[in-house]
Amino acid sequence: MAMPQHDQDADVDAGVAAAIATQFGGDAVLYHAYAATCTVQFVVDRAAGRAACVAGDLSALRLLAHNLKSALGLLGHDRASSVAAHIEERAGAGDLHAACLSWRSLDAALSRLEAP
Amino acid sequence: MNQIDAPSAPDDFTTLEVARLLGMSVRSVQLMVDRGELAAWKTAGGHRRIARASVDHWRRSRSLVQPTPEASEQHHGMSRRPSMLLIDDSIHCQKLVALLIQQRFPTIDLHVADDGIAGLALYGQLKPQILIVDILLPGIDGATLITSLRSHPQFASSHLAVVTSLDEAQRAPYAFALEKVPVIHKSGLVIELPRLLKKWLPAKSAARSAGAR
Repeated sequence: MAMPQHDQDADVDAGVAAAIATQFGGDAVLYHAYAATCTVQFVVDRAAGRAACVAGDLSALRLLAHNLKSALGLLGHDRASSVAAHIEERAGAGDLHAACLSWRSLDAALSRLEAP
Repeated sequence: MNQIDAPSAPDDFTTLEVARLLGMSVRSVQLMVDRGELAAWKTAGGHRRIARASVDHWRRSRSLVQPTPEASEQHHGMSRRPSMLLIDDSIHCQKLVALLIQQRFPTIDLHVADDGIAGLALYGQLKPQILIVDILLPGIDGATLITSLRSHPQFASSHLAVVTSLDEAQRAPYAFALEKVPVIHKSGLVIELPRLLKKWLPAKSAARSAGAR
């Protein structure tokens, strides 16, 4: 069963707060500056992911998911980071179908994080 | 009878000439030929010749231009700004490092390469004091890149760190290149990289940078 939206939002807020406190050493200014650059880049990443799935380019999909895994983890978006890790793992194993199925879910998560 | 090779036509380079031109090791150039990134042929004596046009095309495609006067100064240790080369294909990581440097180490001259081959070429041109390398890169991986850089005469005077989001078990296949190299997990980059830079920067630069925050 899907999580209610307000629970998801609370989850994201807690993740962001934890990321600022631990991974950014309390530097909220740097966190938000970084998050702003990421939201712009997510648009490019989504297009690259779709293109990799269409082309069946597992190597490109693996690298993209690998990079997104760490970016999303740094931002405190742990669920999305886990999905990216799963795509990286499936792409590395040569499982295009599973990797691209999960890509749809990551694509949706990235679209919610994009700049308005 | 020994085969005597005809002299190189002006339109071709030897592997050594290309290595010098791009600031890379001969092995790196051989790998580029093997991957088809440079067009090459062999003389009757089995010596490799590389088409000048393909070298020019490669340099243009990587935006590698002749070193600027500023870069030349750095070659001779005249620049007062410490230089740092980041080799990482992740735009996210590039942006984070750029923000971090801008905020806390504004005296550092940051250069970025998107992949290992471009990184090798830029390293040869810039001879940076600080080199930060990711492990998973398109083309050649970071470990192979580091192995290649170790043969570079300038390497001994550069500080090297690896940044990666691979965990310890995932890094095992690359251990051959990571001995005695500080490895920073990307989740700890904001905390760990500044610590290393403070340690590596000359005292004056570090003090100027420390005042930036």
